[in-house]
Amino acid sequence: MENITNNLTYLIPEIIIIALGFIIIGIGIFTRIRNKFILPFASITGLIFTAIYITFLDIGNIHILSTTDHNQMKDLLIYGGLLKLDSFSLLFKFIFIILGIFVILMSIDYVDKHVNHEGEFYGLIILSIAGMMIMSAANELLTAYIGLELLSFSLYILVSLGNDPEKTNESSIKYILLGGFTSALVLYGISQIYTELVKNDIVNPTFFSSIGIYATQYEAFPPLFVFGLFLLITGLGFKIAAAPFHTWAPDIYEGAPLPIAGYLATASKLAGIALILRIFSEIFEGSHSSLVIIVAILAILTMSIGNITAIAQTKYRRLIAYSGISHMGYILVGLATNTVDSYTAIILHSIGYAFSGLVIFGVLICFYNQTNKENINDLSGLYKTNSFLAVSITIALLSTAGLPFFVGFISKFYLFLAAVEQDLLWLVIIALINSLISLYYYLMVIKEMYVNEPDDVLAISTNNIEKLVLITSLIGVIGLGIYPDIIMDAINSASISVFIR
Amino acid sequence: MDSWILPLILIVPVITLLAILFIPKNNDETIKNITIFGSAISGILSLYVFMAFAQTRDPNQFDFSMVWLRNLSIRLDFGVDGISALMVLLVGIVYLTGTLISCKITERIKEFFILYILLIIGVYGVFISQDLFFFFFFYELAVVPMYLLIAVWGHSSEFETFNRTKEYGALKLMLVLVASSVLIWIGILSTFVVANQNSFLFKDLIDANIGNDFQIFIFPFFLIGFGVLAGLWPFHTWSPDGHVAAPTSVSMVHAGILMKLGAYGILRSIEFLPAGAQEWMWLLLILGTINVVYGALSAMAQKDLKYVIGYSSVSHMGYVLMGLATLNVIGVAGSVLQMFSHGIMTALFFALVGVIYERTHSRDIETLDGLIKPMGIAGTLFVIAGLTSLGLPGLSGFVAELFIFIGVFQTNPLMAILGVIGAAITAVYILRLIARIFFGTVSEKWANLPDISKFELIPSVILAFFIVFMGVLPIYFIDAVNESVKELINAYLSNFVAG
Repeated sequence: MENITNNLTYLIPEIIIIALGFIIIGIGIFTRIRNKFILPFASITGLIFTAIYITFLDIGNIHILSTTDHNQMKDLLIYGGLLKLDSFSLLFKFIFIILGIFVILMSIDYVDKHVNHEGEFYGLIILSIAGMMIMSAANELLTAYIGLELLSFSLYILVSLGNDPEKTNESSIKYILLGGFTSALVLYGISQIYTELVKNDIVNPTFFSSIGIYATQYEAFPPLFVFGLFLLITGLGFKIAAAPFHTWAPDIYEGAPLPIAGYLATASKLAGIALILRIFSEIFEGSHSSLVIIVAILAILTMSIGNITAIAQTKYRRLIAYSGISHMGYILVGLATNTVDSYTAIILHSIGYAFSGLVIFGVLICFYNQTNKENINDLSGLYKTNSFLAVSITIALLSTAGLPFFVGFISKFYLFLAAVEQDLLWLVIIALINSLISLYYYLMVIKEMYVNEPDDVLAISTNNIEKLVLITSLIGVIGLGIYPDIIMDAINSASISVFIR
Repeated sequence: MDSWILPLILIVPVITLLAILFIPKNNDETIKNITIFGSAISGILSLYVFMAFAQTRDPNQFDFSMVWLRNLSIRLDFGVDGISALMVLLVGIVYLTGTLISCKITERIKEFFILYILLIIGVYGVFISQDLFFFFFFYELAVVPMYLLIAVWGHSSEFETFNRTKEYGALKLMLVLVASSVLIWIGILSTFVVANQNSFLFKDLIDANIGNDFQIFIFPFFLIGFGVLAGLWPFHTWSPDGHVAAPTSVSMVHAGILMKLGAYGILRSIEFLPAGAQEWMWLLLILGTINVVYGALSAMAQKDLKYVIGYSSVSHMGYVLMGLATLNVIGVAGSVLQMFSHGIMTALFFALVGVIYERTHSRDIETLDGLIKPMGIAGTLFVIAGLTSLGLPGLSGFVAELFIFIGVFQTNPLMAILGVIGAAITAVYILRLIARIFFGTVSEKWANLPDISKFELIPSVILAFFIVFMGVLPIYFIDAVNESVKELINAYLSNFVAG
């Protein structure tokens, strides 16, 4: 075991970010700063610094983010194995920070208009990033739980920060109650698994790898373990809003501050995905087929419920919520496949989904800031009132529908190809039919913006920061669609490292 | 130089697109000029590709290859044989003429051209890709812009008894095409996995010698998936609705090129799924024949000028499908020639329908009358297109249809007879149409219409030129195509000789 101070250097990103979070909250509480730019830019500076630090992080001359050498990846455990410093965790940490930066940039105007506690707003976003970073690095159930809770508690408060009490109160109470309930379930599930593993004399009973060792011993799992696993899946399914644990998402998106809804839809879901990949890669080690069916059923439910319900929506926030739910279904297809290839595809798909999610929410935030309207048919004629916003959201929607030139096409292709390679053609067919359904309601939104006339000819303006966010994310969506090879090194390395034992 | 010409064919439209993107909105003239200039270069490049190919007939001369995604070993691999070279020429011609025709658009011209060029990039890409993934990538890309092109710039049909909004046409087209591409997705994914070559290249898939049972299982997915885009009966109804709702130049590209993508896709899948093709070709032959007859009969029943042409496209695509289904050299060669001939012809038709509609604001063949008097040049060109359509010797349609009929007679005489009957029906409705709208009594209403303008004349003449050229000198085209078709059919047959 290495000594603690030695290990501490590897935790520098987390330490910086937690410190930054407290500093921002402190500034917000103890000073009276009237300029809306100071806090967000202070936050972003810190985050960018951390992101750069992660990009160049190497251990013993190994550049972790891009190595694909199996031997080099084995000994990256720190604190006696509680945390894993492999390229998977680094890639996700990097993504979380980037998403955090974008969300903060998008929030500036919104916070100025609709939120009273700006210090807490930015500070808690930063703290939740720390939570997600711990989740992605966790190599053990309790550490993962701590990360999960740090994220969840920050989000509970963030969701309630809007200053429209009627909507915010409902959604924040709903979120706290449901979230607290699932947290309890997760904890109970962990305790069940722990008990089972201790009974079988497995050392380090909360480690993911121990679950893997345990799983390989059984053809069919004992009921208590299955029960524990079920509770764990419930909790994680809640986090990524997979059906049947998805019902909170539309309501919360509707009531939460819009940037926070975007944050929930992108970063928070990605954190859940990261944790799920970590845990399931171990559990699937053993009895594969029985779990595949369960995950596949969850995938079908999630995709279908998400897409079919989305057709009937009249408010854009709910539409995006349901479309996000259906995307988690596609990711579960990849999870049911459970190969290195499918993990690569999942990561690529999540990144693409996050980028297009940022664009969608960026546009909606701009729109909402200036009009305060929430219905899909309020978007009518957006092309005439602001063509840049209309084009941006169209590209993002087409990417999420999986059409070429955009990252959604190649990532879906990759995901489905990996699934077909594991004889899951039937699941892929259902997924393809689902993406056809999704195209329908995306087209309805697009039609609203281009074909229909605007209600009032009031022009909608965009400021430079919003343009910057949108254009950068669009470069991500289009650039990765045209030449995805540029980030494949990092993604390959990440997905291989999950499977290193 | 030669290995760069195919990438260049894609890059030129991309550059044109980017140039338009960065020009401020109100500079309509600059945007038009740049697009015309870009499309002219593309047209010349396409012509060069075809002529260079016709000279050497070396299918590897333009090969270009680079790795695109290492993980899945997807390669950006371009190359043309005789079939695709002819299709590239077709795209070049229709792109240029369509651009010229579009210059009369006044509303949101910048966005129109951006989407239009995106569509063109898609179709170019399909014809030059030698990799199944990119084939499909560009195929989907060609479908994407159609929705907005039709829904924003299209026209709704408003008759007393019959109303179809442009949104309806656009949505139907988009959803049907994407639904059909679901079948292609399934086909491509499972073919890749079964072939187990870790490559999407056509030639690797051909070498893989995929098992017969799987071929027979998967071929219908490709057949129907691509067939829908080719207007295969009974999945054809999206096509007339889409044609009619679309603005002129988009109808031209749509009927002239886009439907050929489907037929071309079937042709390519014959290459790597020979046993499947052999098993299922009876179906294609029957459906193709139904296409011919049913399309022709439907065209006869239409009152809307554009619907007549729309259904005639369905009927003519039937010939293409029949020719493919013969799987002999003469039939397939005829089918390829028909793709080209019909592409040019139908583009001319839609261009002229656009011209007529522009002036009369009516497409009702009951009210249009005696238009040859005010619009002599347009009328003459329309008659040329009409005569090609019914297969008059000396014009492009004749050679193509002759080849197809000979090919079909060799495999299934009954279907050939039905096909010929279809051609006869075509003659009836085309001649009736021409007689009615051009040669009736001149009504007061139309007497003072201006004739075709410069921007409409040039593209129409280019199209008419190729119709006549191919009719008079078919050997030039046949020679270019024949060798590649022979190679394809020989490769197909060798699968069964070996066992």
